[in-house]
Amino acid sequence: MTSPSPSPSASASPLAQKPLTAAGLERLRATLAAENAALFAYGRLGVLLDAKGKEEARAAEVAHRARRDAIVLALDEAKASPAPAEPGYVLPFPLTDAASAQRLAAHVEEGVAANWRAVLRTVEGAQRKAALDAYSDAALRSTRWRRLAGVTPVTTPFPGRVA
Amino acid sequence: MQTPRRTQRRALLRAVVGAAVVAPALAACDLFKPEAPPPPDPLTGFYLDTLALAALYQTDSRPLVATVRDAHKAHAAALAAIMYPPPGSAAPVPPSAAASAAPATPASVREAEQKAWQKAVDACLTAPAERATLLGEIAVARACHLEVLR
Repeated sequence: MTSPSPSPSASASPLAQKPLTAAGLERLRATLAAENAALFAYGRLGVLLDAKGKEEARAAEVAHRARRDAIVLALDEAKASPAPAEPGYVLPFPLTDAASAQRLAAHVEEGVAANWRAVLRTVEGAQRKAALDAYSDAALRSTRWRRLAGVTPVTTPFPGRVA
Repeated sequence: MQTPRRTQRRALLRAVVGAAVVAPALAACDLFKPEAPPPPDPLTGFYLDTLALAALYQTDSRPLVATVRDAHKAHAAALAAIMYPPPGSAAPVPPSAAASAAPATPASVREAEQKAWQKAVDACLTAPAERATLLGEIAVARACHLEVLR
């Protein structure tokens, strides 16, 4: 890791390269649900954004898809049947314009960051690095969306920690 | 007049009795000997660097900068809460190079943040499980600082 820039090529994640503990599997299942929710949200909000926002949303969608696939692979390797995505999700607030789309993007990224954060203590070595990369990417995207949406503060001391 | 042999025996007796009296007294002294300070927590250097990082922003009161500075202070407090012995109670540790440097320009502050971010990443990846979450939070917060300080 030499820079905190997002790394969307997560399909080569080492999550599946080593057996996971029961706690690790449980955390990854929860994280898979968060990644699926994020994919659903980006599928809805993209259309409301301007060109720059659309580009950011597309990149985020690619990254979330790669991470979802990496988790599915890891769960599959562990014979821990990954749960499929829900057919629909209830949005936390109405999606009406670009500002609400940006706020929703920040919201889902915070949720994803919180889940990857919770994976950290259940894994080590290359698996922890993969979890930290994913956590960092989601928190960085959340920061960018918060700044675009004019939400303050743009960043928090403990990203993803539920108060 | 004493013979040399008798003198030797008395000297030996004096030595044995003396040792019997002095030894418990010395042992008693051990009870009150001050304990050596415990070795510093492995996070001590990281903690000191975090304090130094917060100090970089001390003179800047812009809201965004204040957010970053307060984050570093919150990180130092959170680190102090998990360190054993708590910082300040252990043997003194010389400040690292990063802690003693005092960058003042936006570019040098950003460079300090970049180095601090890498240190936090390394610390998270090598930490025991119970410390991994906090160190990961600090690493990710620092990555976000780099994003907002662009």
